[in-house]
Amino acid sequence: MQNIFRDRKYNIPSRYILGYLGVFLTAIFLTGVLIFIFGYDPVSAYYHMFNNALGSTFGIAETLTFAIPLFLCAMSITIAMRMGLTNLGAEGQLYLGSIGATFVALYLPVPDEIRLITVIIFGFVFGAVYALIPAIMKVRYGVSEIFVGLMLNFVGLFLVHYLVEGPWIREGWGAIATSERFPLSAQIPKIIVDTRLHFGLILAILVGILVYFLLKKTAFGYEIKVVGFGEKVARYSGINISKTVLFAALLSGGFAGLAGMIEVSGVLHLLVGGFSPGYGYLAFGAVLMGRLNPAGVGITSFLFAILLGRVESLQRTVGISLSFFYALVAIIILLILVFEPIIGKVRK
Amino acid sequence: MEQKTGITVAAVIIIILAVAAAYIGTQPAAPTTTPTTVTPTTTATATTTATTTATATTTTTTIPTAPVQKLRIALVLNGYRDWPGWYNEANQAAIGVMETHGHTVDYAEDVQFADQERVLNELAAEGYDLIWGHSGAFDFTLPTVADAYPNTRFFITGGRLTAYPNVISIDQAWRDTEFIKGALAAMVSETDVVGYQIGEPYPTVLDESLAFKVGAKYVKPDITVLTSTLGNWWDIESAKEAALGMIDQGADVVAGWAGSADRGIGTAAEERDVYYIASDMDHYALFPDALGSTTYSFTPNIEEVLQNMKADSWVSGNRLYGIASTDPPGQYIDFIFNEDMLSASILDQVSNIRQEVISANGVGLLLPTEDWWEPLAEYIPR
Repeated sequence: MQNIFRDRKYNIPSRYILGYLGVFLTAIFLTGVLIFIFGYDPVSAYYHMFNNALGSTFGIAETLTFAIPLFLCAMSITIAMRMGLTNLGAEGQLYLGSIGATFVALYLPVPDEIRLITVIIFGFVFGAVYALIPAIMKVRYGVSEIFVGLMLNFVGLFLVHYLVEGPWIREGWGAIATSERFPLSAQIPKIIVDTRLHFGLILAILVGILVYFLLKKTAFGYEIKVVGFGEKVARYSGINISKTVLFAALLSGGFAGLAGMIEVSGVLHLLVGGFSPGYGYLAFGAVLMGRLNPAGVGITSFLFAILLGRVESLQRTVGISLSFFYALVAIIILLILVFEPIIGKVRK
Repeated sequence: MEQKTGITVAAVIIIILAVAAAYIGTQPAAPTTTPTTVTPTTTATATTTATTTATATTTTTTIPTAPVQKLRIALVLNGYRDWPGWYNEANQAAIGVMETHGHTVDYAEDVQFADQERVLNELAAEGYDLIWGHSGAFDFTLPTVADAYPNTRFFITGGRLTAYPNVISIDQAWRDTEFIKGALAAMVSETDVVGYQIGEPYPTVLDESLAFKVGAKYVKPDITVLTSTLGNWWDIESAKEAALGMIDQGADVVAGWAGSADRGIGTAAEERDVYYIASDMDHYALFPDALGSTTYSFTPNIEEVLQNMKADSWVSGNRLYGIASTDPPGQYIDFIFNEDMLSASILDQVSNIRQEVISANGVGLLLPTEDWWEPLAEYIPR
């Protein structure tokens, strides 16, 4: 019988970490063989990949800049999955967060002194409210949150397109449709000059700590986990399942909304259609590899950022075509996920 | 049990990968996997010299540039170099630069808007002599990098960035070609319904769509011009469906400005036996029955930039090139007609319209804004 109160399901023992490291190296080796067979130098490829991502202040800053929205989306998914729900709608919530942020940055008449904090709040609220749609449909009508969330991703994506190509379009000539540029008071300041790394990093870390304490130390976190173990268990425990699901959905969507807010306010400083490279989907891999543990998810988000954040530079440095490298990264991630049962065996 | 299954799946995947790798390893290398850096060993053909008069040149600044023998050039694309039309034309110009001058051109492909500033920063930090951003989107993402790297030269195609001493941006007056395209469509249409499809609804692209409409109305004031927006530049199937929809509504000529998706428009026309007008030479070559095509080349543009660097004088600013910008006309952009598909009468009429555009130094001057453009602009979703 599973002891839900000890919550061992999401612990990451040291042997597990070693196992993962071994699996990661194996995956790297196997894809290295593929690189070699295709006529490229695998050592050079991996050297440049890691050197691009970690070999300079600029590289580290850019890798972190990529990891920030990925981690926030991963936190969004983590909360939902701990509760037994699959938040496949994080991408749409991200876009709604960017809409909320842009609305405040460009159109809401607030004093400059509080504009940025209002941008952050609206980013969170827009994402949170958007996540309520699948949550309510799940609680009230039993509709799968997976399908609703997935469909709402497209609504969010095209809503941004509609806004920047219509009512929010920047005045004047342009070969791309964007909003006006955010005023300085609505931009998240940079941490390192001449890089794009911004103080959203601190916000992301705070969210990670919040999620950790929420799940580990609070009654609400306990309720989330109990709901995640099954409806009957939760009901017998006297937990109001609907309330728990809705509140957790608010948090989950809010974190994804923050990711969107951070991209437009911290990196782009304007709204443009399709700005996300798929953070809401990529985050699933980071969450699964990190075993729904905030610390683990933080590490895997950073790892994903190393793998994916600056892939196009390998075109210049090694000559690997972009499509080929995307396939390689997919294989690395696939291998790591497939090897998970082996790690479980090592643990025992 | 679960662990055994996992091990089995992992083993199967490894075996599949190994077999696939072994198979691929025995195959000859595909042309698309050629290295991105190509340094040619031969110098070749001379380039065409044409007298150039840009129809609009904004702020210019002249700053000295150290003469360089062999340049390192980076071409940054938000698509892939082998995509027909816009991207392939840049690729061809880049290949020409390598073959003619022996310069090195490296590519950065599929660099989307959110990544552009970072990639431009990286390339500048890596010491490229010239960084070529092939999209007007670089108007938004280049400025901070241009400021941070004042000794690096930047070149934008399709942009209108000004006021940066190390940036040359050029743009094409597509309304010239699309006006002629619309006029041709109206001339050959028997149903008096024609269709025009665009990729993404950027202001500049909407202007092209408007120019097509104005061109058609110039010939037949009562003609119906159907328009549709694809939302991207690569979805051939959706472009085909949209074109079929316009044909179902009576259009007997379909054209567009849909990038690689233009192929869908041509395919729909071919299937339903209606007329098609191409938007670039790649698609013109693909559909021999096309009535004509917009043509353009970036070779004169990059040659001009290289001349700037070679002549120890860099003239920054923005240039706008139309059909009439060169002597002889049409060195940068033009519209060509398929003489095999057009009657002598139609060919004569549409050639005259092209000549009118040239004589007026661009369709913008041929048709005053207040009389022609504004009343037709209402369908632009702004």
